Amino acid sequence: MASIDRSGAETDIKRKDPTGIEESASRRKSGFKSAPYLFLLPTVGLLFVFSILPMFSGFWMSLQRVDVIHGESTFTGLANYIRLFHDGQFGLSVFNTAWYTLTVVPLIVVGSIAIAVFVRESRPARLLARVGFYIPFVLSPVVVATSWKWLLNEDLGVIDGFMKWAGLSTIPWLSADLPARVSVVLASVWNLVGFYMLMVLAGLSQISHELYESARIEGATRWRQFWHITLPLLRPTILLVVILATIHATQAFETILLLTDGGPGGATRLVVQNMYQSAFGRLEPGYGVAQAVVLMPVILCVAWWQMRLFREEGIF
Amino acid sequence: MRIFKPRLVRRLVSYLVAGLLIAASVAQAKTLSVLLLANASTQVQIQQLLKEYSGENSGIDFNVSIVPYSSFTAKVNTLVTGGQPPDILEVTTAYIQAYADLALDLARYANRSELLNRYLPSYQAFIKSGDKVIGVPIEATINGLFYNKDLFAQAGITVPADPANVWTWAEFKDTLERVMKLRTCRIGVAYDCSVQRWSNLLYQANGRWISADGTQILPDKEAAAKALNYFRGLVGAKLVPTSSWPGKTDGGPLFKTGVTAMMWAGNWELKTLVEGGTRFQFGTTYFPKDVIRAACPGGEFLMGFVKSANHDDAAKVLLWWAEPGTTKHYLESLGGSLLSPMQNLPVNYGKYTEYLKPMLNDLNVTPLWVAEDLAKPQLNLLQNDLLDQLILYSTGRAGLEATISRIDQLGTQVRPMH
Amino acid sequence: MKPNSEARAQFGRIVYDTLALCVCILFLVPVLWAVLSAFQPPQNLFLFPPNFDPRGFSLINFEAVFASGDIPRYALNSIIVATASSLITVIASSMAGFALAKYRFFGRQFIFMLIISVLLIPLQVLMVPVFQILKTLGWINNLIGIIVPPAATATGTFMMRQYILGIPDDLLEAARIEGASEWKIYCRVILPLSAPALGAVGILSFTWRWNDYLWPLIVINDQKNFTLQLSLANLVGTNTVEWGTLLAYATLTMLPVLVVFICFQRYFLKGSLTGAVKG
Repeated sequence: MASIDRSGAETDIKRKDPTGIEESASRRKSGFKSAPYLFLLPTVGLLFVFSILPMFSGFWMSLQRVDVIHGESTFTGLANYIRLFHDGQFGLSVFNTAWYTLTVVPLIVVGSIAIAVFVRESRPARLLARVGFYIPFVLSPVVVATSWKWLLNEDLGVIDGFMKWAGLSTIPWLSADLPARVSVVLASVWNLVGFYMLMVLAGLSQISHELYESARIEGATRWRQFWHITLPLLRPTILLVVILATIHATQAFETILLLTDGGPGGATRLVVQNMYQSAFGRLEPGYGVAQAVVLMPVILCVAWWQMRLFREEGIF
Repeated sequence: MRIFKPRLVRRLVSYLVAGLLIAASVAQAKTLSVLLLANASTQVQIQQLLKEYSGENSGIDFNVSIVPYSSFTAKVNTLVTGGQPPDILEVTTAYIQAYADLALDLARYANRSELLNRYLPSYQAFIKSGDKVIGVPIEATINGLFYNKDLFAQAGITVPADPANVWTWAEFKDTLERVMKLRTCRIGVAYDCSVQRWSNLLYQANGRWISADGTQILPDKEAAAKALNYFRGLVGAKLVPTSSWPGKTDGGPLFKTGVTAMMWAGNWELKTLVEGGTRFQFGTTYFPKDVIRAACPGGEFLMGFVKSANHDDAAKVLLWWAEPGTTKHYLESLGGSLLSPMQNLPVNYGKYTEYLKPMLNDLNVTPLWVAEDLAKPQLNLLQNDLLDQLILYSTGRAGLEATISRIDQLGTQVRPMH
Repeated sequence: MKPNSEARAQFGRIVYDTLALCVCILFLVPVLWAVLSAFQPPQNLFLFPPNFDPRGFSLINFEAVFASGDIPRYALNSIIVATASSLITVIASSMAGFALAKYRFFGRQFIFMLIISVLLIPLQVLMVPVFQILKTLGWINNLIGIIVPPAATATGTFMMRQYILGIPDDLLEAARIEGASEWKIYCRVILPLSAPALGAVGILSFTWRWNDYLWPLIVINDQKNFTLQLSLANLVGTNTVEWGTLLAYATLTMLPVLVVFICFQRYFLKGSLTGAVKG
């Protein structure tokens, strides 16, 4: 941070800048700025008290074997973490989460951009469609899970009914590993695409119409306009969608729980459900938090790598 | 010296007495925190009964909160660990013994054997913990077999009319196959995907989950193998639909579709079916038997916590509920769809009487050790893992040896609890 | 030639309109199942084949919703919580997003990654420490406990940051040269220009707080402080589920959020930065 040489220059500045505005502007540019820290205070303060502090407390829990019923804890050091290495169930849940994330994120990115581009015009039909695509996001998980369960019911559901009518064999949507994983991805993308559509719509509004006008005048087709104007200018938004979708995918829990409860024999049990079952099923909260502690750095690295991939300005 | 004038003294004394009375009544105005399970059949009536108690015992008020079963452990454990256990908690058979060490001991407030002997032996098993009496059963449930009368009539099959002629396992399977031949029947038996439902078969094979001393899991391997294989046969023949195992669709909605022959559920389904109505006639019948006849007793209890703020008052409330008059009053206010956990209590079950007949019979012949087995907290702790194994075996993705050995392994991971 | 191509363009738009609506309706089939089932009397629910005959419609499930508890009170609680919390979220996340987007300061990268990492903290397994913190603050069983703690969202901050990155620095410099304080720049330059993102964050945080389940489960013990979601969850009973009531309830609770969405979504079409800065 450069400092201003105030010695002999003061009188000069006073003559050029009688009200001192320029000087104070440049001082603010290069002195210690409290502004960013103050702006960050509410958010960081709340996050610290209600998210980060509990995490520290949880980390301490993960170093112990906690007897919830009797309120006693025994310090066990890294025993929980060592146990994680041999835990096949944990490994399976990590694999399931990775599979789920790698499938859901591209679908969400493509889907939300496609839908947002489609509904951004302010014609009544598009407005209606905008609301329509947002509705699944608003539904409570119980309703999402139940509706999909009945749709995918192998004996009575609409989809398999259609397949029988078409002469195809039915698909065991929720009772075999791969179809269950696909069902879970479908239901999740359906549920979330409205959320990401909102974000993309906000990002699209930053692109000025003039650009499209001038491109149209020069004879560019819609597809070219999309590829050469929309996509590049949407970059910060796309990064946002990719990172958030990835992170939210790794934390997916409630809807999947209600739809398959971990799937036939654990095929759709993701890491958060595994943690929850450790904490509240097996009554081993320390072990549950240990799983979170191990996974956080991994997912953070993925997010970091994604930001590098997009050569995110302001960070790199 | 006449310092104390009589009138002044009289006034002071009356103020003192009034003050003490007010202080006493204020001190007595207590609010007990009550946590109930979400259950449309019972939650309103329980609160109603608590209001009656408040009416009879001025100074006691209740602050009732309701939590759904799926969040039960999360909510209760948070409160308990956070130092704010509820004064009164409604709990199921699966969880009551887990909280035994923290439970309010009602034997300190009443005669232990007299209190216990009011209840059916199976329910005594749930509320006994060493010398303690840890809860009060308020209602009983039992598994039961429902069938679609219309479909059975179409297929020309009759169900056992009396307990002497119950089906064997083989006959049960055969019956299902015959009904499923109908075009109007799409599903054989709607069977919820849970450990509890499968346990029914284990008990009918005369096997148990946890040995009496709590050290071994599946002590009778032969019975376990029989139950596992029989169930695998049912799933393999698609008599149990994939939407049930392992699709995890609730049995109730499947049965209500009208294209399902039978439902392996319990008397808790009666209220929805009878009052909501169905587009078809339905009835209940006796369970099939293998070695013995058995069904899983279940139900709800009210318990207190030793560390709660108003545990003495809570004990009084619980003991009031344990009186035969109160229990009968409560059960009848429910309309009669839930059973009495008390012995020798003539409850009027109203329009449900006919449906409950086979279930009551099944409850009466179920041996005591079934309840003792179901009460074991280890069973609940291992629920998710055991269900995984059951699913893998019944869908044919694991072998018998592997499944049994994995279940044995799970047994060693859980510390025995008292 | 002009009118012809105009007509063609118009026709093309109508085709796309219809396509959008058709895709949308197909997309909404599961929701339609839920909503139509809500109007079925219990004996017609889950029938096979499904029976959605409008003549059989009944409002019995909706009556049951209002009979299941003090719905107006729960609705009021939900509205208070969602509105208050969204306001806090919009302000806090726009401030934080501004700081992260437009300032270079020590610890910038660290704080950004810290905020992102908060998204990875699973509240589900941390219910006990959270409960203890709230107990210390005295916020247990109080609506404040579900308004303030979840209000700072990492997602909202991230969204604002990405959007504010797109605001040209020249505008800020111009304001600074005119002697505006940082706070004034925030109020007069950043906030108006980021209206679309503010709208998005507002709608999203309203939706999140409206649908919040875990926070109220931890915090609220008293039925009179219940939100609609807590009350809806209680329709999933221990042994049976009140399906008719639940579907009706879900249909009803969906409406306020949609109203908020429809009201605020026009902000997404607002604002382009054309003409603000030349060159």
